Amino acid sequence: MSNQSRDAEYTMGRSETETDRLIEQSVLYDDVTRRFLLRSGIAKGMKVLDVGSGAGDVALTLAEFVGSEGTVIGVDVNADILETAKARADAAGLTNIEFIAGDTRTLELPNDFDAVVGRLVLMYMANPADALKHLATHVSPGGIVAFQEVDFSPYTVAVHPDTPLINDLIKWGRTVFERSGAHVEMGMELYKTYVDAGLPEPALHFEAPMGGPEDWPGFAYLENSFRSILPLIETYEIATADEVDIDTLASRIQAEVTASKRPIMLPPHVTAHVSLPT
Amino acid sequence: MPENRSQNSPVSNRDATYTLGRTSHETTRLIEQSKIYGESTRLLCERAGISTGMRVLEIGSGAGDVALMLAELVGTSGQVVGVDVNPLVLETARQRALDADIKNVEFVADDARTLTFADKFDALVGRFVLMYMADPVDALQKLLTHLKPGGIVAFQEPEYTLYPAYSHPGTPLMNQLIQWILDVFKRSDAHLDMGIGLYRAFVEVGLPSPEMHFHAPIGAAVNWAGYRYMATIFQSLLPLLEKYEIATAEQVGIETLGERIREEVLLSKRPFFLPLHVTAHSRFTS
Repeated sequence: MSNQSRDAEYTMGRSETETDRLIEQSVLYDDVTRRFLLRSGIAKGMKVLDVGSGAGDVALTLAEFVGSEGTVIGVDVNADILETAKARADAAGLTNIEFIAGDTRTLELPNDFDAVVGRLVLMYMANPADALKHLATHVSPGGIVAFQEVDFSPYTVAVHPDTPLINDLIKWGRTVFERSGAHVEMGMELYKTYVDAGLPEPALHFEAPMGGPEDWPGFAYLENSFRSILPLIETYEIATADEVDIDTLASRIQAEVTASKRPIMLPPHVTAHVSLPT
Repeated sequence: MPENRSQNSPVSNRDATYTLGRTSHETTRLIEQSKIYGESTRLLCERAGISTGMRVLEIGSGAGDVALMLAELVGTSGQVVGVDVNPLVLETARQRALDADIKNVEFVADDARTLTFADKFDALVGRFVLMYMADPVDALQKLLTHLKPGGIVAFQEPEYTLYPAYSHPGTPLMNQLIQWILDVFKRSDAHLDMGIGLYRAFVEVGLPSPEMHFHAPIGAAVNWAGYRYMATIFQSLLPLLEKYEIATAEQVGIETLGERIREEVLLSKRPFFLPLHVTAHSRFTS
């Protein structure tokens, strides 16, 4: 991981499709996140800061964990997507969540949170260790610092002669994230990031959904992921829209899995959590 | 051999040599393994739908950890039959069931592929077992005959072919351990890609495409139990590593291995990966 003076361009873009993709992502990774929050020690009555809320999925889950006596403040740099997050919180009848548009690294926020949580957010930050160090200042002594980030490493050896389409997707996906300045192995770097930020050593876990069955939501999720990154794939001239052929992507991936009898792996996530000294 | 079968899954007419040996140390390792991999096995069984009252066949029971966990999941109204080809290790499994006062589990020393049972089962479960079978597809086909229609099939197998992804210039010891593991399992005829290969095995026996998850126990903390566990893996592997002339006892340095892994992790600040594995579950519909 190299530190940069500038954040990554948000590789996934800011479209409505991207909002749908974020919600699908949550369906696939929801149980990973729930077990992660449980292990981290998120509990009833806590006041939690959610960094990089997006469409609000992690914040909504957190609101459930902390219950009506707890509160969640979700922050995202993208004011538009927080409208979706707010609408979803309203629709779910949750009154213990507040969303704020801004950059958590510069916003004036309280310093008495019981926990700071983020999913797929440090990977886009110019200097994740500095960001984490700052975010931890909002947490009370004994509080929780818990992050879930992507690890693209296994894709480097997942290329296989029977899966030409998936091989292309691996190459295009990794290249576009790297070109946009995202840390594609942020999961593997969480431990170093915590230690370099002066935090205690985190406990780590690793998991990726694979598939899958005919009704597996992963196929549509992959198509929507590529729909979100397609503009940058074209800008960086990594592949053309014709080559990606986005509208048939899910069905072509599914056909290749069926023909090759090799499952496709969604990006693995690494979780890291720690309680600060009291 | 079917032409599109993975090169790493050769079908032979003989099972693999059980790469980890049959010693009392190996029994201890199996119990430690369960402390580290147990969470994902339980998750697999829960996701697959194994629940109270079910009758479950578990193959490759070893020291009994999966069977004991299943006995808890199915409760006193359910039943677990654990099978292993090694009668000696089943003595440990039986003793542990007795010690835990678990009465709804029984262990049978035999080959589950050739056994017959009076009644069919609601679920078939196995962990780190198809990888050692000469022909996993044929084995699974035979095992399915023990299952009721609509029954659950749930397996957890290692995936060694993706392990080299975690080699890194900053971790020469880790890189060497990964290479030795790949070499020794390959030489002993185990299927290195049985994790990913579960998909092929399931669909070739006519099961619906499975839902799968890729897992790895990882850690980097000073006190993480995984360093010592990796050393216990190598203690079990050492006889074959030497026999196949892959590495000498001196090169492996068992006594200091856990400590050397820890030092490398703390120096490189890169988390250590224990062997990666894949879980898959589906339902037997025909």
